[in-house]
Amino acid sequence: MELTKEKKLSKRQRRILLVSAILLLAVLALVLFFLLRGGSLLSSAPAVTVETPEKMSHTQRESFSLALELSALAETDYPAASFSISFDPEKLEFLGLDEGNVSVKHPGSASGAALPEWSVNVDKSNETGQINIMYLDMTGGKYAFSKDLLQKDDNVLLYLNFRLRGSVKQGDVYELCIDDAVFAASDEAESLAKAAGSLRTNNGRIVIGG
Amino acid sequence: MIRKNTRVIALILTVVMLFASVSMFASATESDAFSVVVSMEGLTLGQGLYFEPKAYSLDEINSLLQREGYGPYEQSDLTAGMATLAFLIDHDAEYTMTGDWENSAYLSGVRGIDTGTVNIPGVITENGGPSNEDHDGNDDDYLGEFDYGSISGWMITVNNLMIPVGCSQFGFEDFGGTQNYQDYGNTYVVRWHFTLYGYGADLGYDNGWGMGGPYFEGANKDLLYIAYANSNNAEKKAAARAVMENLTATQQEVDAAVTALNGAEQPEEKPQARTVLNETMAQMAASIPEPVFGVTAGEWTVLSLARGGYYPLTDDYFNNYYLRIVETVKEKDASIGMNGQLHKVKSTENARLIMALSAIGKDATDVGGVNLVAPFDDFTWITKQGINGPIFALIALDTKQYATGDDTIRQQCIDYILSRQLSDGGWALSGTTADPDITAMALQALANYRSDAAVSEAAEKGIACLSAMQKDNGGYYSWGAVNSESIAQVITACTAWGIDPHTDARFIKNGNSAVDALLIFYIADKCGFAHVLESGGGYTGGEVNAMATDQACYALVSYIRLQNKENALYNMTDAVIPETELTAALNLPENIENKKGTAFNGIISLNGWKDGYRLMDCIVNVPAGLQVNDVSIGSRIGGGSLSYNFEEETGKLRIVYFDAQNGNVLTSEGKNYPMEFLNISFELKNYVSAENLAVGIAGMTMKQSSDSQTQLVVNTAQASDTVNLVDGLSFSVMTLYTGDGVDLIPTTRTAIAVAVTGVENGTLVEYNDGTDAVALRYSSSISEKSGVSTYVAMVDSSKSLDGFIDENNYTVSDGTAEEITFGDANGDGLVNAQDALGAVNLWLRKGQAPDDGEILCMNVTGDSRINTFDALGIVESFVDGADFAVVSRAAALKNTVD
Repeated sequence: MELTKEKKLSKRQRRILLVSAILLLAVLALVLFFLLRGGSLLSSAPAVTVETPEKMSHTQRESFSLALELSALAETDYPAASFSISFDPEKLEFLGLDEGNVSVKHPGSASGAALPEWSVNVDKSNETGQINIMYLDMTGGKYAFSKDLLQKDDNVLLYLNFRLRGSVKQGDVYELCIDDAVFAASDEAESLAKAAGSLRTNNGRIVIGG
Repeated sequence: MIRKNTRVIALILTVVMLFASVSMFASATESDAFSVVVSMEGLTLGQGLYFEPKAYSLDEINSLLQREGYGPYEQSDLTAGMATLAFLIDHDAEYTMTGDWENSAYLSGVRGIDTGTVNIPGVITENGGPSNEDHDGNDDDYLGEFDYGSISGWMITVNNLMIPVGCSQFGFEDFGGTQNYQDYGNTYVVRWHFTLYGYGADLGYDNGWGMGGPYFEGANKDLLYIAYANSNNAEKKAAARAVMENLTATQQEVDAAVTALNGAEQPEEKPQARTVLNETMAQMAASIPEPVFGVTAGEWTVLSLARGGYYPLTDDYFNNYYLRIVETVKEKDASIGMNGQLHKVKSTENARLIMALSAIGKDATDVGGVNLVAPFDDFTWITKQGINGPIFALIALDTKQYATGDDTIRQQCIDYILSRQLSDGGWALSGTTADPDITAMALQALANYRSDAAVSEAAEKGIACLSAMQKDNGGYYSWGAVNSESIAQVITACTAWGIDPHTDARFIKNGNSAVDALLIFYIADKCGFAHVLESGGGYTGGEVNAMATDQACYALVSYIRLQNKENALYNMTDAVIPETELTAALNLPENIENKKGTAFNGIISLNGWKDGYRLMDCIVNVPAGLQVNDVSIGSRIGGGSLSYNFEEETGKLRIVYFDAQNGNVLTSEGKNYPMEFLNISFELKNYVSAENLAVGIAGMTMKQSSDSQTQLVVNTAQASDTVNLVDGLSFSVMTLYTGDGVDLIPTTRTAIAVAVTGVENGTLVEYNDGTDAVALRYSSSISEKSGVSTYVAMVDSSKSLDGFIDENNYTVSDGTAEEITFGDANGDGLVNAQDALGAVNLWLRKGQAPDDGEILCMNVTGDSRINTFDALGIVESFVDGADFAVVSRAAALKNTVD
């Protein structure tokens, strides 16, 4: 009797459990989605990313470049942009910037666009361990970043050039952390800013192998 | 539908049409553009304007008339009837009439304009006319004769005259001088009124037809109609329309409305001109980063940016231009070999360069060893370009009062110009008709010689000539087109003679000033000026032109300089590069608390920087009772490492800064001076019995090498200071800056810093002197710099600061003070691109005027203005980590109140 009863219950339970499990999974998936989205992991906001290179050798002494990439811009002009990227100056030597492929408007040129001139101070960056980069269009909009000037594929704002210092060790991991980032619009409500949650940032990481 | 029974009105108008026309010559000036303003209104029915006033040029009228096969007409042939027909065609109006438009038109009805709502003014009813309750009504779609009353219909006034003939017989130019026929130059006002009762007496006109005179004193609204037709300001037009639609508006009300529509707009144009100038200069600087010798992208650009104050005269923009010019001048001088002539026949090449060099504070008599002024001793060379030569020569020579070898040259130039004045009062390159450009330039050249009676007399005629040549839109016509360059020259001439080209009645036509006219040529999305607005003569209308932009820019500079009461554009005696001797200063706080362990800072600053030195050494005399805790290098200095030693026995603090490893030269970022060089952290070792302590620099040198001949001895003669020792709480107050009213900081606002001893950093300190409660914001950056807790605030400029050193006016409590972060324009706690852009946009006037808090945050240079220097200051601070100048200044200031 006991076995029969258990068998009957198992059949019903199987169906109930199956349906419950599916519902529970769906609810969990939804909750996770919204949690992650709220925490910006799945946010649709544009992102700025420091490229993470492949594992490096601690003996590498050649300089290397890491792209600062942009995923998208909104439908407005951004006459100014700035990034604050911190690094360990005891392990990495910042060498300067190279141009990327994201242009700003330039009414005077044949193409109507030109690469922006970023301001950066290499010495100060290595002294403080924070690279502060800024672009400012002093006309307030004639030489602005625009969605229309983005590439179809990879959009590289600029390249950060580094060299490993002699003190690096195998197994070390160095974070390139975007402390602040903003694409500033004249109407601040339309700006993309990390502080406001309207611009996501993805840090880069340098892993030292053998 | 045409009513057959014309009865009284038809009879009267038939009689009127038989009147002989009176031929009179219009007094309009030939240079005014012909314009007719036409309107149609039903004020007697309370229905306002059916068709609002609209201005038509002769071409526009002919174009409209051509649709129905009329014309074209010359101005002298045009009648009020044809202007009316064009107006009706333009409005697609259906109408009924008798007669024909070319000979005897009688407008009897206009379809679809009667709103059906009647609100007859009481003044008509009171004089026996219909009332709202008792009228004949309108039984069809047309509004015209006999509607609402037996003697109603359309009447026409031209220039406020109820015309004595039919409209087809009324030529605009034929009735000048007729009584009540007003003269508006070459502008004519045709108003169609619906008369309800009294044959125009109900409109306020006396037609002499025995209806007992006008029922009220009708105002002449024509100028208001002209202003309305030419205004683009919807808000002001709405206000004006209310007056226009008031049948019984008084003349005073009408005049006030004209002023509101025309005159009141004028002051508002001034900031617009300033904004346009700012945008244009920014665009120039960005698009011409390396100006060279030449007409475009050269001297005029440099002159505009220098005289407009876009860059300081010490800026590398000008320094590098000068270096390029030196090379060019040496090459040209060598190739031409004519004693400094840059061109064998064009003396204007020398003159133009002299103007630019004077504008940036350089000496044109020694440009890489070449004297650009010397060739002007040759009057024959000067006049090889005709009148342009003497004009340019006078302007250039007078920029800095350059002496010529032949002291008669200036008078020869003046005589040459005066001798070529035309009978109409102006000047031209050739011919007998004045050209606005040459007339304006001649006046610019003569402006410095106004004390000469002959010059003064000639100038008076010249200015009158320019006034007469001005078009209705405020602009000028030259070389086949209304163009911006001519207007620019007129503005520059006006300002040279102290005439405001925006408010002086001689340079306002039809409510439009010369400045208004120039701004029409501004192409906002390109931040530049067009030569012409309509294509022609090889130019594309509305396309930015480099020469037009150059001339418009320096014209606006001259206009703004007039507003600011600065030297005229070409009076460059004020363009002086500041003294460059390297001088050090030492600043201590006003007061410190006299107790063991009190720490404070001494700031050593420099008034400039000299490149090429590898080492700095300095000796500071430190009084007994003080110990040195630390010495740090200023945030803008780089290239070396700092070492110091304090010898207590002798009180000597020895400091050396150099690159021990590589021997690199020392560097400095930024251009704002004074600049913090060293910061010395002191501490009181014990209670000190003296009232104050003095610290001074014994000496400072900059060295390139071991060769003593190459060393630079820094002037330290004034590099000493004292700090007062006080017990407990004390307050000192410093004036940081007062706005100069030019860029966003009003003259009525002053920024102050209050240093407080005897409190913990960040303590809540409140000020209230019984009259004013002033919000004090704690500044950690200034406090750290000076070593004394410091607060900042904005106060009224007229307020005495005496109360700020009175302890009784303060409340010190345990709370935490609100803190200010300089550069954080948007108050989000970060200083980044958004803040730099905020400063730019504010300066471009793209936002609201800043409040006190925003002024304090954004004026990071600590000068009297918020402008692009503040934007650059934010960029430099962000990128270079440099302290804001306002912080260094505040930390180094002494008590404003004794």
